[in-house]
Amino acid sequence: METRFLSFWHMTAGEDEKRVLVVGLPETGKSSFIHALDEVLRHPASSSNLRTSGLAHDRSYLQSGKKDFLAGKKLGRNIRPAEDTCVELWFEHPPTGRRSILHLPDKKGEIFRDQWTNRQWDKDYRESLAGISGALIFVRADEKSRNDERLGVLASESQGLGGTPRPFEPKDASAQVQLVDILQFIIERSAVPRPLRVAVIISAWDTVGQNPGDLRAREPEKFLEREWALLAQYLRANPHAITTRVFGVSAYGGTPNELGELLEQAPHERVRLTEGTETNRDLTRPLCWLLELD
Amino acid sequence: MSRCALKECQIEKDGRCLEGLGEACPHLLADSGEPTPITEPQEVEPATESIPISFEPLTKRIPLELAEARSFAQRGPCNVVALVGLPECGKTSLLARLHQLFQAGPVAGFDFAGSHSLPYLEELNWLATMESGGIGIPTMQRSSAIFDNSFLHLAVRSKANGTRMELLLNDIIGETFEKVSASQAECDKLIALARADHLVVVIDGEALAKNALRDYQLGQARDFLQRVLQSGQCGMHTVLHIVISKLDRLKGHEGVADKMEEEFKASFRSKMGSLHFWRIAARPMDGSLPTIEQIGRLFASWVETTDRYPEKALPTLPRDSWKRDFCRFGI
Repeated sequence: METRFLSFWHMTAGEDEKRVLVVGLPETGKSSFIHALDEVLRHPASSSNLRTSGLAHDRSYLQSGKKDFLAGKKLGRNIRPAEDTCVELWFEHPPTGRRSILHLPDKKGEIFRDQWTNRQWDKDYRESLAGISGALIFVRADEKSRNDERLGVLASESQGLGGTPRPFEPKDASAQVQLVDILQFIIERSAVPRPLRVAVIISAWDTVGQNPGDLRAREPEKFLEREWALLAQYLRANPHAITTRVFGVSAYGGTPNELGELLEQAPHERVRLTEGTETNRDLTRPLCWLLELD
Repeated sequence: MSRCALKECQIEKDGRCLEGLGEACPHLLADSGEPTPITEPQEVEPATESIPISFEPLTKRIPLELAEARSFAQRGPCNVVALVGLPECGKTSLLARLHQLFQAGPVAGFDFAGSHSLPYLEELNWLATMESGGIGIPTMQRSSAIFDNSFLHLAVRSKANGTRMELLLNDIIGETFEKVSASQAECDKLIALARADHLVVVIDGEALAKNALRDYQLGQARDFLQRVLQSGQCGMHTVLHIVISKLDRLKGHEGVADKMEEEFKASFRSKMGSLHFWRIAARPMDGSLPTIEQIGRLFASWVETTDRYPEKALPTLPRDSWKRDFCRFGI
């Protein structure tokens, strides 16, 4: 079974050193977002948008999945490094002239899995949280946030079925419960700045409202409120510690491996980011907000 | 690994100090030389990193010990809620329902603001989920008197005025409930109960509906209340809630519940800070839906009220008798 996975971004900007934490359960769109962000930085939508300022010295992490991403194929889990890996993205912010380097030291997942499963964390990791400027939290629009229960007629019909229940294992816990648990340790047990800027990225946003029967909210913030209610409450109920914005992101523009005619568009033209009711292809918006560049 | 001089203490097996004092407990024996586990060490996989990693413990999956709970109580306003009742009376279903309700949205005007008991609550709710493949009734296998003086933590924030409240839920197992009725010594062990702002006695509605079970159910509840009043653990500083659970199984026998409520009111109303009656169905199995509104109101009362710090009525003296402003208070 898959392990918990968090990654850690480190950003330096001239004299400033800024770091952004990335939190997400396995396969919540983190790698796709990174690839899409790389493409958008290389093809900015307007003259004022964040853009690349050059090729980083080491792009092996990005290179490993680039071919599949550009072809609209789902990224394999094999692109995840076995050992610590450092990835860089260089970019500049035209309105301020500020240049920055985005680092991705990708630690082994076991360190982070320990937080939920084994109730412990690495001291170095905890100490490294002290200087972060913000956090990106990934959830998926097409995955459920909690374990379903039988209610009403379903509950009464289940009586006497005599099913043998599986014993509980921590990895079986509801996704939003695990995320909240991880977050509250980060907030309460480390020296992160307060309030911490947290950008919630709802990936696979293109799956929302695909058919007329989809009653889910079309605005990311309202979507989070209804579909990931525990996480939304936690973020809202700790205003002294957290300030939040919610974004819907489609890194591929559609479902990977099923893009069809969308493949005729370049990857940076297919990407979509929704904030409130507005949708565009500026995937750098969450970073701009986290780094107070907007 | 820690070991204890007390035979009853299971700290060597599950890391729980019988006295609730953790590492400060005077009964702890010298370390045997093995590394101290963070929690339930059988599930900790050995690190494969070549670089040594120094781990720090986080909150355990099991309920909080007294010392841990105290740290949460010191964060700000904090109410302690003790839940008692006979085995399988519906306490676990009530806790599981609250956990499920918060996963769906705010409860009774309160946002979920955090909990250091999430793994425990998830496990408690597991058998009610389809993923478990079970039949739908929440249960917790790990029933032990060791947890009688431990707490589940939950923090909420009022949507109306932004006030934060820490709740510590003291879930006392059914076997202890019976023992307390029988023995003062057992009652004295419930040291957490004395701090309870709310005492929630859960009475099994299904048992109330059955002649053969009714009297034992009610008798145990009466004796438990009598015992904790006698010992002084509960009293005028305590809000008493009598909760009839499994309302779906009580159908046709509501008169029994009415009579019981009248009797309990006569016996205990004047001895407790206040007394409330509730009828709930946290996991009805008759095709009806849970009584979410009632459960929400019950939960809100835990958050909003306490009789521990009664407001003293200030003396009101006639204005023409004041010589100074403070004179209005009789000072």
